[in-house]
Amino acid sequence: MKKDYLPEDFEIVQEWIKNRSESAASEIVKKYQRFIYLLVLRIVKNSEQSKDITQEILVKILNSLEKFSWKSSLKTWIYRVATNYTKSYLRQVKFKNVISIDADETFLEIPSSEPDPEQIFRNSELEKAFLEALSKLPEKQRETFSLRYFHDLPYNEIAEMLGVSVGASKANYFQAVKKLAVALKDYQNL
Amino acid sequence: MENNVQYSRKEMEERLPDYVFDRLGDKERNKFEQSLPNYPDLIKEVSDVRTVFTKVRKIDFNKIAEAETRGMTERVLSRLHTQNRTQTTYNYARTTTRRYLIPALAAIVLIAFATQFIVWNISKEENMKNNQIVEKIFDIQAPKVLELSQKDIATLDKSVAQCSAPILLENELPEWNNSDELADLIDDIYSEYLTSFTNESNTQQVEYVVSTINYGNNYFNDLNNLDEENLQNILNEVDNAEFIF
Repeated sequence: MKKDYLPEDFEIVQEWIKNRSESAASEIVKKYQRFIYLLVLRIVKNSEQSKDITQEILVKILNSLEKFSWKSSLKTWIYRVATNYTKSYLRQVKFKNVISIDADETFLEIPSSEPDPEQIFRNSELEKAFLEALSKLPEKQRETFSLRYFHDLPYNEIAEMLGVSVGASKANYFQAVKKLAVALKDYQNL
Repeated sequence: MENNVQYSRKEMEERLPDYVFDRLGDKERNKFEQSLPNYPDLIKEVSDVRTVFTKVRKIDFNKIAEAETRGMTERVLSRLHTQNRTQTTYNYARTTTRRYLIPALAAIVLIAFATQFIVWNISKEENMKNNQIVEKIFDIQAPKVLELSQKDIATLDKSVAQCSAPILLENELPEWNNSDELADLIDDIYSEYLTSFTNESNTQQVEYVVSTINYGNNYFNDLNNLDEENLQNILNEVDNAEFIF
């Protein structure tokens, strides 16, 4: 059952599936690359790795679009694929890291639990502080805030992506905004 | 009318961020503003959030993301091309595998199976021949049904009584661990006598007769321990026994 999908999404996807045209692939990539990149960055907190993972996710999505059943919006499906892929990537890296410690080999680079604002936001202290405060929010609050604030998604879509109710999404959004305001209070005069 | 009803605290909290970020519709915004004086702490909250996010909103996150993902389309398309080439090579390998390797493997398996089957059959035939030889050998020792008439029984009893075959005593025998060997020995001793008896009788011809009695050491122990009187009693009972064949 097709639900809440954008007609242009459907057409592009069909074009890609049937003809494998580069233009369709380019359109899909251009439309969702920033969405995916910011999502990955929130989880990985490392700019370079986020770029590589975003690329992998886009390739995976293009290869898997035939399996997409349109039971949700394309964006919701992409969000889930990207989230699962990124979390799986982090697990693998952590596992390899454990193995390399046991084998007394060179450490693999593992994303820091702290954000790497220097790499991404070089403009101001406020930007760094904002990203840091955002990364410290609970996952649901952080994701709700990001999806609403950065991507203007409606609450029902956010709720579907995160597997929560619409009311819970609204409550999470309020809590996230409130916590960020408290965390960034000291930067008001910058 | 509905517009005049004010928001509850929960409804106010749910709308506060969207109000601050100008994402409420006109009706909702008006209602929010009408309800706000009822919640002084939320008035302060709105003020704080607005102050902080006025500055945050100046950060163009989309622009940053765009800069970070520059050239992504080309990289992804390049990856897809590489993947397709690999896929083509893989498909070729798979086709080759299907066309040649699988039939070759199947042939090898069939040949191996056939060889195994032939070897097994030959082995089976040899086994059967061996078994037949063994069966023939054992056929000689296989017990035969001896049909005896009352007259034969009487003759047999008489012959047994006159039997001159040696009586085996336990202390004259070596240590018999195998009752079959002992049975063979007894058969050897009595076979001549029994054969002569059956040849003389009027019953059907019997080539060879063996006893199916299990000659265990205990049996002989018991016989040897019998005193003469008990032995005679047993023999009398045997004489009086009625044989039904």
